[in-house]
Amino acid sequence: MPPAAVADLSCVVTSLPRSGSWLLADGLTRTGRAGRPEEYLRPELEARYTGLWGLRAVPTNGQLWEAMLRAGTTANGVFGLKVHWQDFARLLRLARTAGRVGTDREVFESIVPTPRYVHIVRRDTLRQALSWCRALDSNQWWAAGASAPAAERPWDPDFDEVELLLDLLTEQERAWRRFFAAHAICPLEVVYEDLARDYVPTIRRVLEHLGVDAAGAVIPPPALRRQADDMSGRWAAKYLHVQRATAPERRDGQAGTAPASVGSAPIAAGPYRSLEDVLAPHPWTVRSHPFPHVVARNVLRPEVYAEVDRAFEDVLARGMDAAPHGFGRSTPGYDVFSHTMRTGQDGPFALFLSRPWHDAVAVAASVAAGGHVFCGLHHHAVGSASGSVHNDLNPGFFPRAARPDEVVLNDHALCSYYSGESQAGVQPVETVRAVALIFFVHNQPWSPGDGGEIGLYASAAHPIERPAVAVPPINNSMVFFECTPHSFHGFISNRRIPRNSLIMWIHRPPADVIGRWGADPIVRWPSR
Amino acid sequence: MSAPASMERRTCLLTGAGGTLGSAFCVTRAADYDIVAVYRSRHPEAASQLQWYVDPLRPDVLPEASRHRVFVVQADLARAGEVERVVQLALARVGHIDLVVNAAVTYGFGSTLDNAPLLEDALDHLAVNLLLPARLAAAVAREHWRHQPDENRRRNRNVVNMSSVSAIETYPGGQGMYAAAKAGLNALTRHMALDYEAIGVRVNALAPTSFPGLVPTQAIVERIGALDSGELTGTVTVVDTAGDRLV
Repeated sequence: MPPAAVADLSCVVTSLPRSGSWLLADGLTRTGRAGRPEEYLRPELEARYTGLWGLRAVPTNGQLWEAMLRAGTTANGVFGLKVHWQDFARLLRLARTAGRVGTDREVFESIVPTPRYVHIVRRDTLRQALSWCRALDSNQWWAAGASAPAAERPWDPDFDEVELLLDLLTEQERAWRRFFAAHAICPLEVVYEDLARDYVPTIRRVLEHLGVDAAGAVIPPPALRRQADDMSGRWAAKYLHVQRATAPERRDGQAGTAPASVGSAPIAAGPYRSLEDVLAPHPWTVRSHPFPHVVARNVLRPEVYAEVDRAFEDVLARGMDAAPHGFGRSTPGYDVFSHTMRTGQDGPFALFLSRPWHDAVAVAASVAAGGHVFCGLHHHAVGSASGSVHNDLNPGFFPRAARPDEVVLNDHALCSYYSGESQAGVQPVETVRAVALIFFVHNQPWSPGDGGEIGLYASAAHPIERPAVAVPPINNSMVFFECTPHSFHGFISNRRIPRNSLIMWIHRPPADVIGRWGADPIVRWPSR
Repeated sequence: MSAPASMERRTCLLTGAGGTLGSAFCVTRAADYDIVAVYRSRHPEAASQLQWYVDPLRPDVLPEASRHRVFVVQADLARAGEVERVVQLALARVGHIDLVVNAAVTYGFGSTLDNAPLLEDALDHLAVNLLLPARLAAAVAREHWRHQPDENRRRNRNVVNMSSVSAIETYPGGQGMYAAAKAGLNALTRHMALDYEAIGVRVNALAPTSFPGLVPTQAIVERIGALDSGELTGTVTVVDTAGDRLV
């Protein structure tokens, strides 16, 4: 064995079965700069590796891990590992038995030095489950080289098994997400479908994430051939057909199970079933200075964000004098073009109008909110004037109360959000803004000096351009906070590039506010 | 390894908490120590009284990373009065200090031949990289340690100064000022050990090579833990790819 480099950095590809992780791992291996990420921890492969590494028949775990580090490390000192959740969980168990102590992250990092996590997911989980089912049935796990595939053997999947594998995939993905969130780890997320389409740039992005020299890396074309063929497509269609036919039963079957978390409730936004389908596996950060607020980057999964971005572009394309379908000037005294979401909004924005999103935001902001939402898009043309430092503790009127499982939007045709003035027969519900949220979308890359930040201030007397904290308009990031008499914030002029965002407020009964701060701090709207 | 005589949790006053090492120490040792983490501009990655984490899918459950929080103090220790303020705050917060980790550092690289600003700022540089560790330890001693040598010995109290392998080896790249400060710190560490022996406090230094480039940051965190639980005093340990060696 050649003298091995000592690993000081690790590339850990976290994956699920049939997520395309082989394509990624193989691509990384062949750059020579990201270690040799293989499934060293898979129990079925242990005998093979033991032989390859020249270990005695029954090595200790310590010997195995040492040999694994030697074998998986490239000359630049990067160790590569590809690991599915169940093998990761097994490693933690073995390591604890071997006397390693600490949190899961500490135990793992006591074996694998300085890991940088790369999480690969597949957008089409149904095809992933079908692919898994097919590989299990045929015991053929990958197709290498350019040779033609073996003659297509007829294959008839057992849909119950596919269902089971789908559930397993969901469960294992959830387990990874919990691990990342619990330990404040922000993995680089790679989507298999993007990797397959943009192979070289995706591999380069991973090298950049690792902090190794990506610009100088030679990235050979993929050696693994895509195994999916028409058969998977046909079965996917058939499965969906069968599932639709039996869907009501399935829902009934699950009705007795209370949602274990905010994430498992349905969100009714496009193809997504739950928040878990849309949120990237990152924790959100709560900060208390200058007043409590939550910040998060890479909020949505890349593919979900891409859809929101496209939807924003569509509205933008309708023009700046095009309300209600496009943007318009609707906020007196504030240099912004806005677009307000209406009831019945579907498409990518619907996720922001879903009750699970509302609830997740409310809980993270420590607010009991009642399902009333004002949501819109903001566009600031280059050089828009800074706003004022204000607190957003304003009233809002809605046409009716909200059930615990729904969101009710403001509806100007029925009742004015600002004054409560209503059509005959409408009993307006008065609320006060409870949480203000700004999600940045469809912006050009931001650099310090560009402006366009949301400033947070300790006092309304502080000048707008001197915030205690400035949150820059970086795509797929957001900031939100409880609206209180002291939640001083404001828009800082965007000097160089346009600035785009989705804004929303969730609301609560006035009594909650009056009980805490009295009625005086509620800032009534000027008559409009 | 001797366990502390008391069941009371160990406490640590750490400077440079926003740096790579400081942040890693906070993240991985917050469960073991009550840490008072002093940072100048960047909050450490760890959860603190000012910042913690929430899992949006399980907002009701506190993530592991938020369970043990460090107490952060924002301070520019180069400014007059800040060392004293930080020590008083730390004592007010945790009551006693078992371990002081001097990890604050300032980087000023440049040639000693033709980099006038570097030389003009040399005193500021030395104030942080050489003198601050001694000033901080002395402030802790003045406020706390020097009145209780028995308690200091019983709790195995000690100081770890973060030096650098640059103090021993001569690397190109304009590290003169940095290396001189760290070489001075090595000498100062040994003398501090002699001085502090009288009050039962150990003083050691670690001189790692670059991390996480050549050695994992976690390895340095572990060396700090080993010094804290061990009995050495007056030592300077180089930690590099060849392993550890006393110099």
